Amino acid sequence: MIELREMYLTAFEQIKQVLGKEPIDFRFEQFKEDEKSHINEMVVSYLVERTPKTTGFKSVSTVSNLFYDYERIYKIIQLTDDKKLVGILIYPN
Amino acid sequence: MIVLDSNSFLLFVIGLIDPKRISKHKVLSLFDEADFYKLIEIIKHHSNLIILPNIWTEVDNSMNRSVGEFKNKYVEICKELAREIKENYLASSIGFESDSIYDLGLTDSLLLEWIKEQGHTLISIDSKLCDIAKAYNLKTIDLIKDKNDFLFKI
Repeated sequence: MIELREMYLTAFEQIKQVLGKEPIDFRFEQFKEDEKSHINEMVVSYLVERTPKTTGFKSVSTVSNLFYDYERIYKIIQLTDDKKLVGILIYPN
Repeated sequence: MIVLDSNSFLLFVIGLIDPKRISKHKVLSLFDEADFYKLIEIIKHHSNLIILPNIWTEVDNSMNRSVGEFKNKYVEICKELAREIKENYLASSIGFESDSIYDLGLTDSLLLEWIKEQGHTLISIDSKLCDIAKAYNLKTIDLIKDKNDFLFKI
């Protein structure tokens, strides 16, 4: 199993690559290792700017604060024991 | 008063049963015995807690599938906790009327509205709930952020 800090740093780099910039308020949320497949699965989260599309049918809140201009995105990152990326999945939270 | 969200109440309950089991629960994999004792230190006494019935239900949905001695201890501890901890009912309509219902769902929206009204302190293991609670300048102890800072920030 990969050491937690290594998992964190690898996941951070993967998300940074996907976004093309450093994720805001990146967090390591959960992890688990599948002992049979040796796939390490971690749930991470970070903030992204809300767009009209992600705001959905709800109008923008009257709360004029950073966190209503942003929303938290959750992803599952799967890594092998030697830190190779298997996949980045949507986390159904 | 202190209000716990579902996952921090789960940390509290599993810690009371067997602190070594904390990290084995899927949603608590980042947490351990030390986090339980820190939580106890913050709460100090059961009388400082208020729990929403919705939180009890979510925790029970997660714990009631356990079996054997662990399940027996869970039930015994919860009998005692349910007698001692104050409980506050809020109508679901309050949650569905909340601005946060789209982001947080019913239970966390109720928590948020209740804390906004009463000024309680929120302890949470839910980053999204903490983001929004902080946006309202509510007293928030964000355990995922604290744990990330402890483990990963030099």
